[in-house]
Amino acid sequence: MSLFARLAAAPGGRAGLTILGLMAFIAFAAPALFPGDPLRIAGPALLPPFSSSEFPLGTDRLGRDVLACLVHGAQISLLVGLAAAAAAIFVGMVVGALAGFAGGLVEEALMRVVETFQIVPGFLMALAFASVLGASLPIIILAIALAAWAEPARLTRAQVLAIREQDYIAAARALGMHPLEIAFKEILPNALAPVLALSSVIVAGAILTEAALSFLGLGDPNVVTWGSMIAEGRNVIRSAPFLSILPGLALVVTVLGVYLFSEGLADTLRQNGEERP
Amino acid sequence: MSEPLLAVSGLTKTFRNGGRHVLAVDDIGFELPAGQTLGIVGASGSGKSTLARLLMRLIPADSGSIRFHGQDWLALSGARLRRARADIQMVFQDPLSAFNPRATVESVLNDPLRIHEIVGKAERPARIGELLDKVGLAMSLRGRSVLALSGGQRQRLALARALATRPKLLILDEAVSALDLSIRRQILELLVALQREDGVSYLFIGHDLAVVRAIAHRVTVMEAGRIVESGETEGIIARPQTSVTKALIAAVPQLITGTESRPG
Repeated sequence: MSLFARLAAAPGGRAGLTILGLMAFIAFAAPALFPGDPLRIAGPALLPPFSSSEFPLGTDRLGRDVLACLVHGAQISLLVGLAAAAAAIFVGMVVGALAGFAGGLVEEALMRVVETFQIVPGFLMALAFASVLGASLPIIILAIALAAWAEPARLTRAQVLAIREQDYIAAARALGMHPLEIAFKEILPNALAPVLALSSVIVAGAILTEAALSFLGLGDPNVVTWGSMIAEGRNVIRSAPFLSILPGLALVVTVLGVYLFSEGLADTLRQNGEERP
Repeated sequence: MSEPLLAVSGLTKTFRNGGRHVLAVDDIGFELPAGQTLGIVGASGSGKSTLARLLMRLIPADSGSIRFHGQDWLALSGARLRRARADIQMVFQDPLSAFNPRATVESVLNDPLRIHEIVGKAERPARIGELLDKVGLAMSLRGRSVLALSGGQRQRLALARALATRPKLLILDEAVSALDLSIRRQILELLVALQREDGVSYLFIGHDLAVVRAIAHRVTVMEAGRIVESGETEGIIARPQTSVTKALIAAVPQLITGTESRPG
């Protein structure tokens, strides 16, 4: 059975896959479903949900279509989450693998840097970075990645160190395999599987961090995000709570989907290690 | 008599464990003629596996010399060492951890053939088939993951991998200890047959004198990193001189009645 089929067979993994698939579809189809700028004024202000067929989820304080904003917001959330996590994991894996293979002074120096990043609360670091360099999507992605790369780096290094001591590495050396081939063919592929399982947790964290940054007004002002929608709705939270609740729900469902997916993936990878056909 | 295949003298290795120095291998010396089997026995922790790893150049020695096949084995380095490694191969103690979990039977045997260019690329599948046949593994296993093999099958595969480079010396580190009795018997018979056909020398490391007796011409007894006794296998078993050897013999009931000995 393929990895994908097994993932889909586990109830948690299936739910995660479904939610993520749906979100990805919505994000991709956003420009087709709701063409034009979602931030434009489309109708009367503060229309409650389910009261108009033109605006199924109502409008906000400035008369913007909430459903259009939510759908376009999915695009930004997923984009930022995936890009930041990909950057964090890539940098983390490279640094961790370097440290694990090099050993000695190089390892000491690299791991001190990693620890420096790890002891600073990730959100504060992203906040400081975004407020100093200004709010634009690439900066936000970089800021979130900067706050998240330490964990994959530590895990990669630990994996490389553990696998280096395995008999099959000794066997490869005894066979006269070139050290580079041992590193890239024997050690790295086995070291990276658990790190990749960590990736979806990082994606979930990145989506939340992005929302929090936007909520604090440090997001990119030219795009609509769920965080900025919640912040915007806060001004009228007594009269129109749905403006904050709806994007909040979208956030919860997405993070839950990512989390379920990651749990399912980790389980599947574990089973894969134990009994492979 | 001509120069032995392997001559070790004064070999020493110390491990630093915190502030403590542990002398794992202490001034070891022995010789192994071509086509013969030397058994190395001792309780766990006596330095047998460290000795194997020193001979394989997997860990550096503190001092001592190893002459192998007429050359200074410890002086080799880099690409020359990698090339020379074809001549000494090893079967590891734990048949589970000795393989990359992502490997298949075919890829395990392909690696040594490719690295040492034993045969051209086109002939490799045929050679892999011969190797499988040699150790009694079915051809149908070729595409299997190593994880799908039983312990006995894995140990046979480890043996096939070690034989792929056509080594002059094979180090067997507790190679049959993890196997059940009938499979152990089969592997030992296979080893003896291979030695008769190809003239491979074995360094057979074990803790069970009954097993060592079944294969070794000579035996060396180790304790705490030192050699305490060595000689012809039958002589050592019949007339043990040290308490260490006596204890090892006492641990194996059938040695007292003498039912097993080296076939052929």
